[in-house]
Amino acid sequence: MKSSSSGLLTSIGSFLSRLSDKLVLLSAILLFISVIVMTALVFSRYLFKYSFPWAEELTRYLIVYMALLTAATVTYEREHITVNYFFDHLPRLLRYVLRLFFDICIFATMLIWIFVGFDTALFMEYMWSSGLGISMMWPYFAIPLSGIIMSIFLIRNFLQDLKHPDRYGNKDLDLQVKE
Amino acid sequence: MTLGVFLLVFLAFLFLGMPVGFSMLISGFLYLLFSGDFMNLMMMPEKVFGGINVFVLTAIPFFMLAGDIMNRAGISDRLIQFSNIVIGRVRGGLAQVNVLASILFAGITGVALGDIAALGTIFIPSMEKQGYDKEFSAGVTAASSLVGPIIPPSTVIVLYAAVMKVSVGGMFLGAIIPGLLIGVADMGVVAAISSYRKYPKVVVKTTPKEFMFSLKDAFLAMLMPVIIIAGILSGMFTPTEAAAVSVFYSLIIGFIVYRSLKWKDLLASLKGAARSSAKLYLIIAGASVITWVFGAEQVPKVAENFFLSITTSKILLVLLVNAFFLFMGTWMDPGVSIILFAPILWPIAAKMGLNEIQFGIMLIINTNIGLCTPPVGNILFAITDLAKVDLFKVSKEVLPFLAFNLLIVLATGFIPELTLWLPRLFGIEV
Repeated sequence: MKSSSSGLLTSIGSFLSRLSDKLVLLSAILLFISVIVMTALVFSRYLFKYSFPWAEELTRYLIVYMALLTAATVTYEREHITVNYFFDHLPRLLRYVLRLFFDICIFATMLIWIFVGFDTALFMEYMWSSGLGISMMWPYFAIPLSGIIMSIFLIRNFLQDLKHPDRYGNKDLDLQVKE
Repeated sequence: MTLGVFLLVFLAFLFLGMPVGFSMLISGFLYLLFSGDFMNLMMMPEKVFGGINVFVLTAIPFFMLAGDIMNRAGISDRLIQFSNIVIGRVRGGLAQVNVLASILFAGITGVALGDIAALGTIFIPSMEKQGYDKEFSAGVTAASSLVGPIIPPSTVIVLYAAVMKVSVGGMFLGAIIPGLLIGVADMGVVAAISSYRKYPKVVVKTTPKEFMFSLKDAFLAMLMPVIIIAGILSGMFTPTEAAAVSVFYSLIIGFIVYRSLKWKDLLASLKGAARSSAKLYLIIAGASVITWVFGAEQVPKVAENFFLSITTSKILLVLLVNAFFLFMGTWMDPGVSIILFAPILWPIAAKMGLNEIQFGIMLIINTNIGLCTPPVGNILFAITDLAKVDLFKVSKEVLPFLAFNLLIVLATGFIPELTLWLPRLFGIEV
């Protein structure tokens, strides 16, 4: 029973790790497309005297998706910009409790983020973007989508923090701090 | 929720180690939740989306990408070789080469950490081999990397321009003189220390052919900021288009001219740029909520009254504002300081008679100093980790360089021509 549950956890863990990798790959592709669109816009303007009316909008939306999807991966990797100084000097138990508290706070915020994000995206359904002519629901959809993925990653982070009081992601806390 | 409670919650989250972007989002959420008007909370996605869906900001991942591609294409080695031919023969030559390479490298990268990764691994071991103290080698590498975010292109300049709605071209031009001044000051410090400590003087043998090859490499690197700035100023490109063209240029250099770039390098650069910009975008998202709260609570007015209640003297106000940013810069990333505090303190700066470009460059150089100071200096940590040296000893070596940076910050605040002469020369109304 125990081995099957730990097997399940391992496969969930490897699924999340692959999901995180694929998200960064997708973001890399989105970034590359936006570079191509912008460069093509410049060339087309000077060679053919024609500007794509949708280029600026498409680039903005691609970068928004890239940023929000990768932000979820960076959350998974625990690499977001943080002021660590005081945290690193706190007693071990307090650090443990704080990390769990932060995981819960961020998770709760993400739930609200998903709810209000969906609400706003649906509200935008019948508004149309001027360049691409698409429903504004799609650009706004990046917010709840990133919220959902981030929440899944946050559950994993919480469980990992709960299980390993001395570790923060891949970093061993007590290697950095002398108590 | 009052402003005081909001600030307390935000600062507690921030300094207790919650990621900066989440600290902003959560304290903003709490403020709106307790404001009693549920509609405010429903408007939050719009605010966040509006904050990150800004065309100028899309230049940031592009600039990050271009710098990284150039680096992977091997530009740093070539810039070092050129710098060595130019200045390697003086006393403390290799340390001077380190500074000159950083200045040239700043023209292709927009961040300081890129410089450390690209140049630190090469310089620190080779300087040590020539007889330089390891701490000094690490210190020079760290201090000279600070020109990276100042000499254009620069991601933090784009960020400031987006937040304050200032011309990116004007900011890029305005940053050139202070950036070069920092480079020259670094070289002066290196010369003084090298002559005091009798650091080595080596013979650099080069043939005219080698020099011409090296000059070509340096020219190709220097062409990138020229294309960016000239393109923006001539109205050929928007800043974002210029950034995309710089990526295109770096791909031509990497794949066609040097033939050293591989597809897997490009993929790694794309992933790296996506990661780095996502970190920044989360903070921009959080800041769009925070600035909304600040606006509702009239924080810029409160700050203005606070500073003006202390003094109305322009000199003291410039010193006070700089002291504030210097303090904040030691704790947080320059980008975070700029997003959070530049709009708040701008009204005071305007009252002091500062121009938006001048104010921006002053803040950027100022907050950059914090990258090299304890307790939270990213560059300092990166270099001590890379060189395996004592943080305190490196801090001591960096100190003379930082003192000159600080002088340049103050000069920027008091002498508008340093930042405004070039933009005016190119017809930008400032």
